[in-house]
Amino acid sequence: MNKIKTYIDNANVSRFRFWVQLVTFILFVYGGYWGISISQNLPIFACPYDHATGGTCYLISLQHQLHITWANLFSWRGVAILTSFGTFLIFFLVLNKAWCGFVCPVGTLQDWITKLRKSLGIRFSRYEDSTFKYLKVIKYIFLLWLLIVPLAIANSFFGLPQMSHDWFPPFCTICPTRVIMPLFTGDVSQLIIDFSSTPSLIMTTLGVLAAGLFLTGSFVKKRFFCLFCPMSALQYLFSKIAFLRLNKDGNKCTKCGNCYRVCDVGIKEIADDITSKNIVKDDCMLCLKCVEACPEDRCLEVTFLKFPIISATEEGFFKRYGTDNKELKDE
Amino acid sequence: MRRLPVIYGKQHQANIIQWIRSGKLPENSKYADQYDLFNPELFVFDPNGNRVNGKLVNNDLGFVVTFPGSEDGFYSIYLVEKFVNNDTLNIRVAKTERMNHSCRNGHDKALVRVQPKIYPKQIPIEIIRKRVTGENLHTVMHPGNDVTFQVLIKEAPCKNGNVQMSTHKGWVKSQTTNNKGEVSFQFVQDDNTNIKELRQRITFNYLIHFKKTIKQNGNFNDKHYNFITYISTFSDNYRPSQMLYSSFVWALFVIIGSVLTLTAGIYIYRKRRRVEYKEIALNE
Amino acid sequence: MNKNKNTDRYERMKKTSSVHMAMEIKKTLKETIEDFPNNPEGMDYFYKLVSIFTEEKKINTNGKKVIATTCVQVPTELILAADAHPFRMCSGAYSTDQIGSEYLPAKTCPLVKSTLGMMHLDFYQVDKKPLAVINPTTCDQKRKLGEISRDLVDVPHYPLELPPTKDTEEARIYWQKVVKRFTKYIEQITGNKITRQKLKNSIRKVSRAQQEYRKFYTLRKGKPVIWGKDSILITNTYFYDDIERWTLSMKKLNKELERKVKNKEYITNARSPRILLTGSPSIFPNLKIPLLIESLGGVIVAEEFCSTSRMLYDTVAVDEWFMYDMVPALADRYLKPCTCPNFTPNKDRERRLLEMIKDFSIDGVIYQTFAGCQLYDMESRNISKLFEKNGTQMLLIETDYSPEDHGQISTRLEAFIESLKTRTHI
Repeated sequence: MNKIKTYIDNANVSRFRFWVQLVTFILFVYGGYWGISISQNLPIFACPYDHATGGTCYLISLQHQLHITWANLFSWRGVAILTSFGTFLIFFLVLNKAWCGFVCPVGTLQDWITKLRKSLGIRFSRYEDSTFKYLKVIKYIFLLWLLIVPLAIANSFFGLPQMSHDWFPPFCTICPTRVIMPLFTGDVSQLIIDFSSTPSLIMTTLGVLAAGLFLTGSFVKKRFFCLFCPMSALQYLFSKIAFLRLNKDGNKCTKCGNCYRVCDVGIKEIADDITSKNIVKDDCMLCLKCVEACPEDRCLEVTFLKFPIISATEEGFFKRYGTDNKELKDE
Repeated sequence: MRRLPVIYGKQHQANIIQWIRSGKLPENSKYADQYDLFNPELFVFDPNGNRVNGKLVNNDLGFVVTFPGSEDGFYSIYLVEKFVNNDTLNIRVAKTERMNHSCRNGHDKALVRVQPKIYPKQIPIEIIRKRVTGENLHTVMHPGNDVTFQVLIKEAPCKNGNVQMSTHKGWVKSQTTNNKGEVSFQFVQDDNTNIKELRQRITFNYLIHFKKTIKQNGNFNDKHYNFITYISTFSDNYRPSQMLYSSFVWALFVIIGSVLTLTAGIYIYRKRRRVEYKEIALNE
Repeated sequence: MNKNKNTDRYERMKKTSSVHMAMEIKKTLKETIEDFPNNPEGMDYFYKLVSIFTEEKKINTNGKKVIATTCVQVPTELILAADAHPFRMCSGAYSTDQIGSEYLPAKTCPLVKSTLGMMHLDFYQVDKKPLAVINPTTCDQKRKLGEISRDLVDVPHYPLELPPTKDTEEARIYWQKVVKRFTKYIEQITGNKITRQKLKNSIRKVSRAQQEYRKFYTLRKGKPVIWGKDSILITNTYFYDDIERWTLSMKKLNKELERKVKNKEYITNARSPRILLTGSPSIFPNLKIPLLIESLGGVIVAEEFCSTSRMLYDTVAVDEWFMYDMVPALADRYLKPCTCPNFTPNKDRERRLLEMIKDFSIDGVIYQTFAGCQLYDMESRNISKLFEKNGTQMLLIETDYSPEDHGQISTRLEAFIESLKTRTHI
């Protein structure tokens, strides 16, 4: 048992993650070709606009379900919303935010774009601390938008006129995933600006702009889009009760900042917070790079229902960062 | 089952051929045959308003209308049924307008030649497509256009009638006519238009369906009735938006533009950061 | 040539100091080696390394350019990457302390005085004169050292602007910029370009040294197999030794110690109180306090000094092995985990000490401050309060490099260690 634990602690998690991501990417982008359909309520951006997707993002189900009149909301259709949400929650609780780091095809795509940038030797950007604090809020705004607009299309709020159906689905139309993911199956039909009505024009233009922003953004900034992802916001509401956790023992932390250095989303608390035990923040994607980079024994630890899965160890750290005798090739 | 004849056709043939179908929505409709119809009466008017001889025939293509004609302009084709069922007189009119145009005949007075005509003597109920601004002999409707229809019953605008528009791809919308008997629809972008259909210039049809029942006593063919139900359909076709091309082009333009601007922006930002420190601007 | 140096007096001073220093080193070495039994064989390398100074020999730098540093916050990886030999110039010699006293106020810390004396007399432990002295702006005395040394030392002085606080984002960014500028400076004075491949290799080199050090550090958490005075000597040699040679010798020593742990060959019996030594750093040949403690029956199992764990414990992790990530990563590593008392606030030092007390099962803490070392002296107040709450015994000792207070300190230490012994018994 101890041997297995040591093996895992010394493992190169990033390499493991790369392969898991590759498999899940194929599954959720091309899975439909093999008739795979895992669920309609997945906590990842498996985009149904890609006709071959092997499962569906919960957000689109949620938007469709919330396109409902008040009367229906409190009828059996309301129950459907709850069961759908329950499925989402069960999926989410098992892996917590590791869905983002290991499974989400959009996250994977961004990691690959980062790899491309790295191979070109172009440096990455980091947000300044103050900018980061403001940008973080955007995903919650998106979440509210996608919850409220479907209701406002189906109902009248405070006697205001109902919104045009052309705003629907309010997030998907502006989501860069809708434009980009279908391209992987050769489908360009989403790369379009719809002139048929003003809402459609606005939304599709924003969508295409967002796609452009996504491509450039994720090229210069690691996991650029994740900072704005409403799924991440929704997930974080339930992250505290998830089974998979990332714990930190603040007493063991020397604040060396290794974890923050390697953090793709730039969570500062991972290095500076020495009081919280549960260190999963809203932008965290549980990629476990911080655990790999932490040289203090059991300072960072990933547990599943309190059972330790992988811990930071000195030995593991040096295995990954120190004793590699390979010299870099000449530029 | 309500049966509603619809007329659908092709242009630029010596004899224009019309199919007649039944069903309310294009997607679940079927071709009508002669046994479905109650004493159908066919009217075909050439662009000058003269009645020409049209025939309902069964041929290889199905149950169709044929008529001769080579005049430039709209041929109006009506199929009228009148019959009493229980205590209701059903008046059903299926209408379509076929543009016949050859560029050899020139384009003079196009605006006049495309104007709609009505035939109140023969046709009790009319659905008129209001011509769009600057309409000419080549105008085709596209998604994104606004189209207005006027409903006239015996030349009088019909208020508060229910008008439904449905398109080939299944988009359906209902509206009620205003005081002038008019309704306006905006053709909505079909969800699943793909670029192949666009390239092949496939035309799709849409259907306007109108129904109204009024209380009126009378006799028809020795049968008494207390109500009259007017049902009228109007069909025409549309092409995937030309704008669709531009939609794709615009989208490409926007995505490439945004990528380039951002890249340039980031490049300049990074370059500027390397400039030596000069001055701090303070807020006064 | 500096005019201060071109006098007969300077030559005389150099000669007598050199003799004094040799004597001092000999004496310390004798006490270190001969007064203690069971010194590991692996220590021979380190003993030999420092004993060459008694014969007026220097450390061989293999013809590399030398860059001197005065504090722990200088990213040595960058110096290594420029194919230069980094050399930390903090001195523990009383003989040069006396030279420094001539040019500095009386209440200056002996480490600063001794370092100035060493620079003035060109008593570098390496075989070459440094190209520059990199002086992080840590405490006031180190900060002024550079200015005062202008007339006394003919090596250019480069102040490395260390921010006075480390917890804010501003400080971090500022320090990163300072280190970036420093990288350019190193390239300029050595004439060697720091490429990403070279820097990566030098990070790896330091990392391997750290790995061995941390292995050594962890070994001492158990029952003692090595004396603290040896540990201090080992990390002192890291100041000037070739890093790869040092790592290799450390590896050998660790193997030997691991064997000793396995065979239960402990240096002393279990009743010896386990001591944590902290405060102003003990630097060879000033091993006065550690030698006293251990000759009186205590065992130093851990030191929290800028010459020991603070220098070698914390590691660097890099996400993308390019200059744009490596240099800021290095900057962060030398700033964020550093527990130097010149930072305010310095809560991290308190946390670190508490964690060490727990990890090393410490019986008592001995806090050394040098006369004139204000920062450590001031910080001792908070730390003793902290320990009071925590129930840890602490002895504060103020001393300097002179051997005069030997008797008085010996009495206090003896009493302290005895009290610890009785406590451990209960």
